Amino acid sequence: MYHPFVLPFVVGFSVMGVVLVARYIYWLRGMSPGNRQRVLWGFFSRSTLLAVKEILQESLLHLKIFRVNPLLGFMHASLAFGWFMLIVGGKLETWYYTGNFFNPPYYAIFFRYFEPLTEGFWMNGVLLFYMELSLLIVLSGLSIAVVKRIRKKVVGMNNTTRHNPANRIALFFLWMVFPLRLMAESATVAVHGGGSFLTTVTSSLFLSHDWAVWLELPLWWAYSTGLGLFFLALPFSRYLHIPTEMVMLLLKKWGVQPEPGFNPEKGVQAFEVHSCPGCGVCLDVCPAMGAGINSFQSAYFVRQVRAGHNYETIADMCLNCGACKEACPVGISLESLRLDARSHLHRKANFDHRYLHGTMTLWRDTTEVVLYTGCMGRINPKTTQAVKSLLHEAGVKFIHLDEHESICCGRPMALAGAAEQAKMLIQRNRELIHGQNGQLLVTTCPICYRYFSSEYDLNIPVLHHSQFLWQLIETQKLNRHKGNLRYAYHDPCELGRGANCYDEPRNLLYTVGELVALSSERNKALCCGNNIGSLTLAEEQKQKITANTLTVLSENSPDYIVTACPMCKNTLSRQSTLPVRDLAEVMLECKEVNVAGSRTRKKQASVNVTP
Amino acid sequence: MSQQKVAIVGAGPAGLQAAATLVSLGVSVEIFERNGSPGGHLKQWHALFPHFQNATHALNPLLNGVKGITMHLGSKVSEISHNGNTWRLLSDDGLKYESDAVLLTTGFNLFDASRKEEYGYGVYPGVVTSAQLEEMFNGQRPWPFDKSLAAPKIGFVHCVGSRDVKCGNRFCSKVCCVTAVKQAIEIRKRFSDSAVTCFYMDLRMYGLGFEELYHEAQVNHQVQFIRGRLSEASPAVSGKIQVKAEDTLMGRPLKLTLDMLVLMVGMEPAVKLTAQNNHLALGKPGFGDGFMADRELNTPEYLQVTPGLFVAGACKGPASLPDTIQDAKAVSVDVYNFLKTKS
Amino acid sequence: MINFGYTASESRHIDMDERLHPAIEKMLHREPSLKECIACGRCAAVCTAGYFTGMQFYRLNLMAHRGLINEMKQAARACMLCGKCQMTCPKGVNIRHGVLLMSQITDVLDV
Repeated sequence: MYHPFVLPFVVGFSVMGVVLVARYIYWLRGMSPGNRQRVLWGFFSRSTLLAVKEILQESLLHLKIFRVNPLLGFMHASLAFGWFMLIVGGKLETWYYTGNFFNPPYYAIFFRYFEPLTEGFWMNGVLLFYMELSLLIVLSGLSIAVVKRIRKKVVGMNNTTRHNPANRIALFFLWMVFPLRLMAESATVAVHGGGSFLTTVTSSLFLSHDWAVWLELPLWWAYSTGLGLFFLALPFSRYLHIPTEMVMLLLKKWGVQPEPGFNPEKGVQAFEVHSCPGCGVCLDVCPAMGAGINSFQSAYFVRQVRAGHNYETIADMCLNCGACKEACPVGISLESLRLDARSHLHRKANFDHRYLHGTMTLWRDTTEVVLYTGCMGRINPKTTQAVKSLLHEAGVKFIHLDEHESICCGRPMALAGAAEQAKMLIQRNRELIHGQNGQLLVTTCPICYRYFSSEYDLNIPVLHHSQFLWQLIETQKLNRHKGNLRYAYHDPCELGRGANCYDEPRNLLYTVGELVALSSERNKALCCGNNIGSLTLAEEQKQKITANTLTVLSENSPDYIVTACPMCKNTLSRQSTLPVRDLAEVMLECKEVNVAGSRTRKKQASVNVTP
Repeated sequence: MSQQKVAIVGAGPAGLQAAATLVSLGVSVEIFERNGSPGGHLKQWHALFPHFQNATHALNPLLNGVKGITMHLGSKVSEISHNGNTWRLLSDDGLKYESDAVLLTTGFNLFDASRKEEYGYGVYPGVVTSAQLEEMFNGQRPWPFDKSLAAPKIGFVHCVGSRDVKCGNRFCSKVCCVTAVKQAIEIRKRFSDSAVTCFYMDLRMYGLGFEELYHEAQVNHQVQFIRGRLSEASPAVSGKIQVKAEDTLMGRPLKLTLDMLVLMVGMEPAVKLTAQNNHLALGKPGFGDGFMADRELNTPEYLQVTPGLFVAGACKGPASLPDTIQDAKAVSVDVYNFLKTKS
Repeated sequence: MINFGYTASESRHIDMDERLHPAIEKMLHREPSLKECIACGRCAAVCTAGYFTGMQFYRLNLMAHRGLINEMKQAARACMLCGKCQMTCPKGVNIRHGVLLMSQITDVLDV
């Protein structure tokens, strides 16, 4: 069974196979020895089965996207799973028809041309029905995709990725392939008869038998060529993500670890970078999008890296708020990828903090709580004062570690891609904290909190002040009554997505008043616009992001906007028309509130707004 | 021909001066003022730079000039609309007024110092604004430190809320530098053993007599001028305030304990004019909303296409009292000429 | 060596006849907000590293504009990149990025 029209497909498919295998081997060889070991051990373990399950769920059915956006999920699932159904069906069909499991791959793909009349057996009828159903499913997904390109709002997306030429070519052929298949099969049905529910209908489009005879071969040629060109373009376009994503899911399940350095053509990073489908889910969740800034989102960053283009502007400008990582349906570690890129870009950065040796007095005093307000605490005296008053009120013994001088926790250096050079800061801060003989470290800064908990390896537990205040409320060392003021809570990126602390701040606010629901909150919360994640974003752009975030926070007209990060508070309060408070300030201000008096309190509060 | 009418929004120095000028030119005027009394910021002021003229001496002639003119106090104009040759004003308390021209003299608000939390305004009682200091001079507000204190130490911070992108105010408020110098001298006169320090970014002594005042402060009153911004104010023992700053000329950090810290708050527009479907709304300005541009300069569209709407005084941009009064007179003549061509 | 009773020392003048160093120009191109600085000193006043060392960003920036590359690069090394300066800067200068570039600037154009 052979016809020359299969050649374009065979060539395209073979080239793709060779290129893919060559690239994968090259990437795998670039892995760290430890990771290679993990791959070898993992290969014949249960993790492989788990990975296969996940491949089915995520690469084919796209359940994660489905949960975020059902229509978009259906689009991806019908394209991927429908195609998968076609491949499986083709295999079964040829196997059943020839009795051999192994046949040339083109035989299954162009089966209808070679064997137009198979309806003799009932099993073939079933298979035929199944194949046409699968094709219909794919086509339905495709039509949504076309609509999405033209009118993105239809699928509930505010933004869709802008594609470069290579991707557009691949996209064009991908779109052509399935309609061509339908046309070719319909032509064959029109000539020879046969076909199931779909092609019997579409074959009538050919009007006359002569037309169909005349068009049959050209259509099969076109289908084969389209398919061949798509496969040829695949390893060089974003569609490389289709096979790579599956490999990456396997690698993740086998437990590979992040590798040092930044090389998009080497090791685990290569698989991560190339498994991005450029689907654009990261665009919609990006806080900068709402401010009309469409230049540094993760999809663009990955594309730039993959294409070997200059990615500096994109890598340095992002706010690193983590919203894209949280939403990424493929689970690419976008945040660390970006920081790796930054450390590669700024590898010549040269800092020297040896001056910190012996610069500060080490106190050794036994205390319950070591309070650390961090660099930003100094420009938010109200927060610091409020926390201290609350600790006094609860009768907690504490020492304010950095009342007079502080050393940065090191996270800002890591965010600038200079994590290696933050060692001295970490070491010195750890000495200071350990020197206190405290039982618990409480910090008012989410940035410090995240870094203390992940990088410091301290001998005492560390809590963010919102968590500690909630403990005090729970153990009734602090007592508050519910008032009727309405609060909108702004999740700081580093505390929410960064440290997974969403509930304690809300519990606190719920204790003293009402919590207003927001259209973007918790892990979808918007960035205040001025975290230190961005290196280069210009001030006006930051202010646009802040303004957009404030719009969301003010949408249900709360009495106060409340946050738990000195940086967020500082940024929001500069631009907000509503009063902005730290959680600690709210808890302190509610001290005298009782149920009866809360009305009068509200009046006072509104006077405070414009002193 | 009936007498032509002009509505003036705002009874600060600009509004009062414009009213007096227009009346003297034979125009009928009514003034709308959202506060309970006329005079604007001037009525809280104690003395004026550069000659320490008593503020009431400047205010009284303005108030005398508008005797007999209808003034709607406590009446906040919220929208104005334009229909043919007639202007309609609508105030929050339901007042409606028709006129042949409208003159906006809505002036400025002082920057809300609590927006710069690091300076501790609203946190520490010793941190006050320049306007509050004038009230202390007037005896309307108690001093935040014990008046019997032998040698009070007082600091002034320039440019609070001015020249500050982070506050949305790129502009220089123009009058704070010389006001700080004037207030520093007044402090030195009142408390002979006091020590006064001014923290400035650039000293802008642009007017006649201003440089002389600066000279006097430095030579006769030993006011220290430090070129540098304050980083933070923190509490020190017995209600004092410790400030940290960079002395940029010395290139070294500096710390100082003070009994009172005065923040030289800048000017922000008091009213924002927005064009809506068929009227102009007078609302509260938001972050970064600038002043109403001068008619001759970058004239916004709504002023160009709506003949009969005029703007005078500090609502066009930071201005000193003499500037405001001059401008009000000049714009009044513009209004008069406009009415003349119409009739 | 013969002692003439005096020593010849290098001129202390900053040579403003020289054009701005190309590396500095490139740096200003990559972080244009550096040009906004008015040397108010706020950055130095709040500086975390400045508590322990002579770290003064506005001076680094002046050094850059006066072509004192080596001094600038050396002084930039003390920075902890904490970003406090950037939070309080009235002109919205991206100081962290500026210092990051300063610390890796070399005489050859490569920033």
